Amino acid sequence: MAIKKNGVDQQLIRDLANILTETDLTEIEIEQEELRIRVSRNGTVQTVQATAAMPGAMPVSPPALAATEAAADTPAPVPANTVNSPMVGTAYLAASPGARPFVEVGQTIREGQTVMIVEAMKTMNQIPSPQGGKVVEILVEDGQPVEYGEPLIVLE
Amino acid sequence: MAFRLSPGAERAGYRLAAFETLGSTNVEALERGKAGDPGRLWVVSRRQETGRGRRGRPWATESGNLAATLLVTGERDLAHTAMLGFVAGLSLAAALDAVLPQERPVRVAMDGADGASPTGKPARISLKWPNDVLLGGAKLAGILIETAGLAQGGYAAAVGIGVNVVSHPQDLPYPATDLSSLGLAHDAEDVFLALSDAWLDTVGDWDAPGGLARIRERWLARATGIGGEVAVQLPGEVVRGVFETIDEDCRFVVRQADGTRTRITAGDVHFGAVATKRDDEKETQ
Repeated sequence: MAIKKNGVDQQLIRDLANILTETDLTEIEIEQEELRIRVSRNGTVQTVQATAAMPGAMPVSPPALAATEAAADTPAPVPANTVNSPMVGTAYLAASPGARPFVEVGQTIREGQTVMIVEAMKTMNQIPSPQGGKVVEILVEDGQPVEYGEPLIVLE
Repeated sequence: MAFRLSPGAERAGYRLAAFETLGSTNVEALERGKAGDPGRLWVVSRRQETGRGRRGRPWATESGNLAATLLVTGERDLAHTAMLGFVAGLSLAAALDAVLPQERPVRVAMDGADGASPTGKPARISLKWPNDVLLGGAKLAGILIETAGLAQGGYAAAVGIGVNVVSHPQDLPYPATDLSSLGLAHDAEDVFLALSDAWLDTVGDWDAPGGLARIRERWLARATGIGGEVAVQLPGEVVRGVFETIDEDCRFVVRQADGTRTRITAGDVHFGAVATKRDDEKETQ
C-alpha cells in the first residue's frame, strides 16, 4: 500500500477520511516505513509527508508531496487561525539553541510578534504572527524543515 | 580615515551610518528598518560588542575589522530575499578583487592559511555555501542576513557582512584568516568603500528579471568544493556525499553514496578531511 511511484495513494487517504467521518474522530495518523499520513478534521494539520529522515533536507526524489491532498474528502474543515511559513526552510523555535522559545503554548501573543525563525541560505527570517491571540498548538519542532505555506502554530 | 561610500553608491541613493562601537550592526539596521527607514542604508562599525553569527553564535569584531550591514527593504518574497546572501558574497569577493594587490607575493600565515598560489599570484578569493568568503581556503568573512516583516507590509532585511581585516578569531573549528596576517595591509575603510561600490553591480542582477539565474552562475564560478567530499551538519543529522552543485533556488545539492540527491536550505558545510570522518566520531560544530 501507500506509495505509488509518483505520489501518494489517494485511495488510502479517502479510506482514512471515511473512517474519520464514520467514527467521528478528529484525527488519524498512520506511519509506515517512509510515509506518514495524518488526516484531521479541523483543517489545520492535514499533512502528507515523507518521513523527516533528514531534518533540514529535502530529497530531490520522490517529488515533494502535496500537503493538501488529504483535505479532499474530509468534512468541511473549520478554518483555523494558523501562522504559516512564508517559505521553504528550517524552523527554529528560539533565537539560539537553548534560548527561551519565542512563544509557548498557552501564551497570548500580539499581532506582529515574532513566533519563529525560518532559515534558508543563512537568512534568518523572523516570522510575525498576522494576528493576536492565544497559542493553542505549536506544530513544528525546533530544527524541522518546513514547506511553503505549512502551518507553524495554531491560535485560538 | 573615516568610512565613506563610493561615489556610485552615493549617486544611487545609498546612505551611511558609521559608528566607532556598536552592539550589532544587524540589530541596528533591523531596528531602523522597523522604525520606517526606507533602506539603502549601510550601518558600519569598527567594533561590535554583541556581533553574532548563525544560530546565536558570537561573531567577534575587533577594532580594525569591518562590520557592515546593509538595510534592504521591499516587497520581494522571502525566497528571493534569501538570495541576498549570495549577492553579498559575490559583492565582497568583487570588492576584495578590487582592493587586493594583483601581483604581490604574500607570506604564509602562522595557521597555515596560504595567501599565495604556487604561481606567486595572490590567492583566489572563493565562496563557500551559502555565503562565506574564503581567502586561500580560510574563512576571511562571514555573512548573516536577518529579516523581519514590517507592520506596513513588506520586509526589512539586514545583510550583515563581517570581514577579518586586521585580526581573526583563534580556536575556531575551521581555518580562518585575515588580510593583515597575509601581508595584505588594508584598512576596513578601503574594503568598505569597494564593497559599497561592488554591491551596486551585483544587486542589479538580483533585481533584474531572471537575474537570480545570473547570480547562481556567478556564484558557481567562484564556488569552493564542487565535486568534493562534503558533510553537512543539520539539526540532529549529518548528510555526507559529494557536493554536486547548487540548484536554481541556490540550495546545496549533495549526492550521497547510494545515489540519492539531497537539497539543503540550511546547515553547516564541512569539506575535505572533516567530511570524511566516521559517523561515530564527534562532529565539529
